[in-house]
Amino acid sequence: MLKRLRKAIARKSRQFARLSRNKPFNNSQGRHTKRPLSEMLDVNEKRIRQAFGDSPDLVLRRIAIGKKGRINALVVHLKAMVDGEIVSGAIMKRIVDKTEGLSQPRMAYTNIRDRYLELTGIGEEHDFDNLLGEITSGNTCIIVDGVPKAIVCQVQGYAQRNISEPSTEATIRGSKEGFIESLPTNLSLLRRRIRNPRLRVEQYTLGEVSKTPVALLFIEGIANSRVTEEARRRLSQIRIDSIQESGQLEELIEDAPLSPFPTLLRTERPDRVTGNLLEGRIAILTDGSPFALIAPATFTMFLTAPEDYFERFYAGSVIRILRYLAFVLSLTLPTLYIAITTFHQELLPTPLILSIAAQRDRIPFPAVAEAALMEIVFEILREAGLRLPRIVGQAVSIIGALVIGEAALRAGLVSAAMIVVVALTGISSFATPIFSLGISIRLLRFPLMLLASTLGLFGILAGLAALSIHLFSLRSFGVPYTEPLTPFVAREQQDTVFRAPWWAMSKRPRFVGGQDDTRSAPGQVPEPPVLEEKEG
Amino acid sequence: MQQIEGGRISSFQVMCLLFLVRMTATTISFPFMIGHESPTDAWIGVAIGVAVSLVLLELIIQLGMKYPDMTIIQYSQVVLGRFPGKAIAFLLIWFWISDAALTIRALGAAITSSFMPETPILVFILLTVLLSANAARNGIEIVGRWGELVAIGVLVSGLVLVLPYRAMNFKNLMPVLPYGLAPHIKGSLTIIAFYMRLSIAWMIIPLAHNRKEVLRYSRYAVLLSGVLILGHAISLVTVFGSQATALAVPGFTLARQIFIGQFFERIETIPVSIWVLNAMVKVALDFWAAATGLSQVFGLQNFQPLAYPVGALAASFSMLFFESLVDLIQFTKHTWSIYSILLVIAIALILHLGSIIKNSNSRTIKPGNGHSDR
Amino acid sequence: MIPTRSTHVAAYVAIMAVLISLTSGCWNRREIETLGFVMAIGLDESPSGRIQLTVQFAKPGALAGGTEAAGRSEKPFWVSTVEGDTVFECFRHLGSVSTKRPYLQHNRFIIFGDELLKNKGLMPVIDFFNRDAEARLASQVLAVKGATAREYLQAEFEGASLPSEGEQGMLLYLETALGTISPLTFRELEDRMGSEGIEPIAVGVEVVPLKPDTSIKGELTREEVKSTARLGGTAVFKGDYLVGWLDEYETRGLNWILGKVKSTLMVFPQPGFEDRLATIEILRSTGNFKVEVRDDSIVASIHVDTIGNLGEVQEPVDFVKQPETWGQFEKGLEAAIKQEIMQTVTKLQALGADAIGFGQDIFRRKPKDWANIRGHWDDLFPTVKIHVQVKAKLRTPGMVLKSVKTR
Repeated sequence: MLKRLRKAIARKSRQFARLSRNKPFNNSQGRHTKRPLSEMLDVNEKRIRQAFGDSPDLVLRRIAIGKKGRINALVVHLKAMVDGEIVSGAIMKRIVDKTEGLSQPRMAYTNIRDRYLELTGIGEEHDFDNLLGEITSGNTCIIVDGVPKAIVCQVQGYAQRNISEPSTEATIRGSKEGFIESLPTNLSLLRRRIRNPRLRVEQYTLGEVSKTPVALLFIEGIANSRVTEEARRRLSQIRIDSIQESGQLEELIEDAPLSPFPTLLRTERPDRVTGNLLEGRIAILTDGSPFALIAPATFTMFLTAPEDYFERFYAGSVIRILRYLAFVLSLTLPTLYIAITTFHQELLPTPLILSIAAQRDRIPFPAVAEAALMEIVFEILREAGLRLPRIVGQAVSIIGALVIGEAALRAGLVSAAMIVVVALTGISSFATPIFSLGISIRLLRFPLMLLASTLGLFGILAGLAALSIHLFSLRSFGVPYTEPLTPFVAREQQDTVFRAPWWAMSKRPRFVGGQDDTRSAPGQVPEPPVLEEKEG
Repeated sequence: MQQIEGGRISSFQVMCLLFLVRMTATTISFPFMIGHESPTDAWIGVAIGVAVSLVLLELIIQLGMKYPDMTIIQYSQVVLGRFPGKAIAFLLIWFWISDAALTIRALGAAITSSFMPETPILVFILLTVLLSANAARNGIEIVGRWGELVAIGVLVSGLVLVLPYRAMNFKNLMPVLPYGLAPHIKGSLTIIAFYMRLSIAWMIIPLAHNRKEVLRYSRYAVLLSGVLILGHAISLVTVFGSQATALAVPGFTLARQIFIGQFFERIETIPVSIWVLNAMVKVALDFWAAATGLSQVFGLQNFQPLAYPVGALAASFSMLFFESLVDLIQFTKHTWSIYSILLVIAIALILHLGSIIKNSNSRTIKPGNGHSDR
Repeated sequence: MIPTRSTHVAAYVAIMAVLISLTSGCWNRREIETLGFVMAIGLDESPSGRIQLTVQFAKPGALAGGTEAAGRSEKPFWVSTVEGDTVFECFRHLGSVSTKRPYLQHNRFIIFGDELLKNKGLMPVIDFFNRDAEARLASQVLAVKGATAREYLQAEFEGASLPSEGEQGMLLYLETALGTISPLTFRELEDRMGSEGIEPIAVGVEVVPLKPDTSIKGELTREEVKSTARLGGTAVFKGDYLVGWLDEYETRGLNWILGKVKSTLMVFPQPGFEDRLATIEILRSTGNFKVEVRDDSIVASIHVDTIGNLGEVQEPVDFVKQPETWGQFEKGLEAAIKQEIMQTVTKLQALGADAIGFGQDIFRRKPKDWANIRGHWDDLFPTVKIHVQVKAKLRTPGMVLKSVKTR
């Protein structure tokens, strides 16, 4: 069945590729067909107007410049995409004022381009279709009659959210900045953290219709060239109408599309991206999404929070171990409850098991049904809690806690122990710092529960063994997913379950980067200064 | 994409795999202890067995090091010529498949006799075979990684040897040598026989990252497993005294005696789970070796399609070969141990001799002609 | 890469599918509420000469977490008795009298009735507990003196809701504070049975019937508290048959020899006053023995080291003025311990049961000698000569050096 599915996917993608090659989406404008700009301003204006279908937000301002206003020029932009003040102040006014003495259109054009505009972002475009692209991405274009070229001024200005605290990855210590939906702003957040020319940004425009800018970031000399090459390859293979969110991109470039585990790390935090770039990984930023993708992603990264690195290393390590524990609990606790109450009643101390037996006495369902029911109810509550407006959310959580918990218990629908288990599982699952892994765990819990109800602990064991074989076989951009736990890399244990102090972590991960693996100079253990004897 | 790790396993993983290959015969079933004639000083037999095995290990690993780029399936044909070489290959493949069948059955029998008596043994056999064949199909890298984690787990489960401390009576270790050395020589044979399973290294050596280290790490594997086997023997005797030799599943029963404080008892399922994984890794390695071996004998491009068939074969053998647990123990103790020692030592000696003769006679054929890695 | 990966997934799906399809039967699956948690198992000989099994189940609902309406007067356990030809058969027969399936994993005690041990022996009844996957070898073994296990299992203990908890507490207290029992688990019992030169023992218990007027009427008590139990003493076996009992002091004698006395009280005539008693609290002791095979005789030399505090005297003493009495107390203690040990050995020799393990000691240290004498050890054991050496030290006289004295 899966094989068929996979074939279907492959067939569809081939069709799609063919489609996009032969009959591109963007009306009649093919990607590679060149249509030069005309020398005639009227022709150009008409074509632009046609291309946008006379859209009301398209501004086509004809101005008369040059000596006695003999030269016609056209200023084009989309009203909602540009900073109007700059356009009127720095472009319109300057062009009209400065070109007074020029009579030649070509002279006027070159002078405007090279001298008169007080803007840093100036470009030139010969091709009509590219020009349309510039207009749609929020640039102002100036076309002078008689010149088959256009000046492109980067004056984008549109509404965007302020930088705020990342909502899905909160921390106590560490940066409070989170990515927003604007790619330039996000790039600035990263550039500010790594002020080094070796931080490379490669821009891609993805989406045949949406033309979304996507940036591939890495640090030259630290990132493994094979990984960056692979990332380039995967990004350039994408043929799709639009990229709206990095999650979409993730599904198109990940290593294991059918695996429940994410092989790319999604994060809202610039500091996490910075840290990973410095370890030799690459990052992919998508315009319109506050989530960056990091690759190669390994399993331990998903259980790492930025705080681990900023708190003292004892605390960092202990909290991280706690998080691993929570991860295991969130995956196995309900399954253990089922296994213990239906197969391994010997595992718990006698008073505890007798107490559970007393609670279960009046429950009409078998343990697996009880557990599945409660888990599903909990998942519904959680989902509803996410979607509901803030004000109603309070009410729902009260209903959830009181009605589902207390009332179900009193009605004899579930046992108190089960409620404890569900609550613990739920809380534990929130301890996973990266949401995408948390979701996988929530999904995997249910098949494991089924296994537990058929074979008890041996069922869980089989399920976990199958899962781990799967994990071992995964790779993210060529790096084994479970590295450095297995294959065991002694050196990299500095930053897996434990977090070694910074002065002890002098090397970067081996598998990931591989070029320049010195992070810090060794032997930097801080020591108090030797005090000289006080003179008596 | 080119794989950065490159389809090989580290020496540490080789050690872990060899360690696990040996440990199943202690954790799942412990034929050495079952019916031992002189239980109080059984550790002597273990010590002799481990010492002899260290020497024999030299014989096994050195053979592999002579042709470090080839598996035994390949160089046996180089050394002995095509047909005798293939005969040896088939013998070994048969050995691995039947050995896997033995382990699978022992595992199933152990679980059904001590944990889930009402569940059909077939369920556990199928479960093991499916998981192991799946791992084997994924290649040695995945088996290696799995083995690495499980080996650490098995080491930790060595706590089982200490935790029944309340039940231990060290006076049970007396007397020493009440019946002379004879029972220990006999016992050490069983120990050595299961060390012959390490001959699976013949398949792994060409895939190791640093082949020079393999000998050293396989020595560690022998010593480490030796210590644990010794621990099992001593722990069983101190806890069960005269009853130690009467237990059908000694490891599991020992784990049942764990008692931590007033609160934690009856937690044997935890170490036993690790031991079950141990057996699964061992079986996966057997499957992988048999599948790889078969594909090399027949000159196939890929061993992966053979993993599940090999598993199916082993599963049916495990059901057909043995009638009951008693039958299984009798076979393991008396038939299989002699057979495995003879087979492995004979093959090692023949190939060693063959290569010496070959090297002195003609130096025209270079080792490693034309056979691809895997 | 894609084909292999998706086939992995396919393999998992296959595993799941196989498992789910195989789960039509329930095999070892048992919901917790269908189980009767067995707390203690009693074995007797039935009047018709068959095996009688009595099982004490915990009643979880009456213990904790149950309905409040159930009331306090509900007994937290119930007892079922069945008869059968083998133990396993008896357990199956339980189904006809008990609503829940007996679950043995939490069992703490295996209790044997007097008659069964004398007439049938242990052999016919113990194998099940070895063989069954559910039974735990760590269960304690008790032997009921002068009553059946069934009667014993009806007994209740104040302060513990479940009798097994009460027994557990008492066992622990007696073992650590008095040394008047020598507790052993089922596994140790079997080890003794299977070992060379040592005989099995079991903790002795007695049923103490309560007089009707001792129960307080009212809401707080039940009507039917028939009896309670008393622990102490030791059942001595020969082979697998019960041959006699050691009383509490003799049991302590055995524990001195085995070095198992952790703490206890020794009461003996106060030095200088034959009709008055001194009490010494033993803090710790070590004990061991060595058996030597000589040409004409076998000599067991027992060595006990002990440390204690003076706990109580009945006649005034003054250690300030008469420090030499301190030494007399130590001497008195030594003599008392020695006497207890001698009494135990004499009793065991009279019973002809080597419960100490003199034979085992010979086997362990001189396996060759043992090979010669094991055949007639039964005859030799009563002739073993005993040499006891006790070294007692007193630490402190307590909070006073001088007793109160009437003028």
